[in-house]
Amino acid sequence: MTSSSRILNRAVLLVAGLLALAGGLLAARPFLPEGFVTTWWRPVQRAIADALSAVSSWQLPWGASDGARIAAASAGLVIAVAMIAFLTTRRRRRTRTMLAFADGTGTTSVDETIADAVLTDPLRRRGDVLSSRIKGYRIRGRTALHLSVVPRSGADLSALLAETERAVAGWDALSGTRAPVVVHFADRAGFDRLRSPTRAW
Amino acid sequence: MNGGATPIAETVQRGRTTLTGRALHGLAVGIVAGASGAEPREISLRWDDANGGLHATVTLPLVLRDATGGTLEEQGAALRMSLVAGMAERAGRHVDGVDLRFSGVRRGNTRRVR
Amino acid sequence: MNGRDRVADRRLLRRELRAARTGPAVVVAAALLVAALAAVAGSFWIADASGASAIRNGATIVRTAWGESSWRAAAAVAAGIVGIALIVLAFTPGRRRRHGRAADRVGLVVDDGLLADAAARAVAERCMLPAAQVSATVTARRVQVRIRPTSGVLVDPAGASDAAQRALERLGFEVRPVVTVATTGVVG
Repeated sequence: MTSSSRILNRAVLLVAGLLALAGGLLAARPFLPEGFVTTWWRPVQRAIADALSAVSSWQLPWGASDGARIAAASAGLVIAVAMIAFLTTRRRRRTRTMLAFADGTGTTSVDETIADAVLTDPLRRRGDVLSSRIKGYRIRGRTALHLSVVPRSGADLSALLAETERAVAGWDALSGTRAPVVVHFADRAGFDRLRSPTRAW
Repeated sequence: MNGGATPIAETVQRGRTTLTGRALHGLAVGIVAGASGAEPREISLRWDDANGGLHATVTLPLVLRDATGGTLEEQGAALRMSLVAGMAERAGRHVDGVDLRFSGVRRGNTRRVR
Repeated sequence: MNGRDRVADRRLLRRELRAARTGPAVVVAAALLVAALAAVAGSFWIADASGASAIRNGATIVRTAWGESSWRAAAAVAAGIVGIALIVLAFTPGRRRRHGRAADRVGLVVDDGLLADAAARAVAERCMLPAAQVSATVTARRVQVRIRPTSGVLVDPAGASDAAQRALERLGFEVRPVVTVATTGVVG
């Protein structure tokens, strides 16, 4: 996901929020003070009436159709397509192929299980690690690695970081590349989101 | 009498060598197993025809040797070349291309107990 | 090549630390999708006689509800709350409970809970207190340390503060420690 993708998320939220507020305003109209309402209600009413009359005059060249139907269907279609396009691009592009090479005789590809064996397995075997996992993502044409490690309570995190960087160096040597790597030292899974970060010992 | 020189009788073997699908498969797996150190049953291999040429798709585990095995790119290229050379030498078949995939790991001689 | 790598690393790190708002956006988009598909389906369905009457009935129900002030008030309040909530979500940066920095080779992201763990343990060790009497919370720029002293034993807040700060500096994170020592202690 890029920053433009994040902005798109927020744009969708903003548009929906404005629509909701507009709907709320319309619903609240009889309750609002007269002076406040008349300034914008007349023009809005006129605009809606104009739009409806313009739309009713639409007709498809084949078969008689109600203009409002056409407008509703086409608007619905446009929005539906836009939403589908939006939704399908939300997930980060996960990849199971960590590396790919090609030459005269063919291609070589390397599965994530290899990265797991070289990177995460050595960490997993440590006494101070509860679990560890690696996932690959395609970002801007490169494969980036996301390494999550759940350390045991009381683990020495800086030592764990050093060990992790050693493992990554081993992968660098084996893969012959320097992939972008994010290491995430994670809290124990489960209800972490609900627990506050306070440690009540 | 010919004007030109008559060629000396060469040892040319006439006829074709036909290999069954299984033989082709077994031969290739054997070559790859020998070159990689993986067990034949861990190697998955498929032959395809690519515009008249022979194309192989191979998936096998990576055998982690102790120290230097070269980079993955090098190991992959070496394996592919071994297959191409082996098929040419033993079966007289020219291989157009090989798609190789490393999936899974084996640590030398020890099996991973799951 | 190296410069480009660093930029890629930093970008990767940033996306781990900021709230992307994907969850709410997906929910909203799905709702809009359903509404849009309903509109398309409805516009086709209305051509059919049974469909037209069904839609007309539905429209009448909505219209009568719209006329009733209690429904309108409820709808207005609900829409207002949802609208404001969505706009707030759209504009606030949203901090995830984690700290991150660029380490030598990797981008490091650590959950705040783990940082709090480390700080609390360091303080407990420095002040020679049992772990049960020290608790810590890590926020964006601070670490709050709360100490329940052992009755009769003085606690050195400066030492505690120093221990907490150093524990986090070991990982490369700079946070300001705030130490609170409770007035009532634990007898034992």
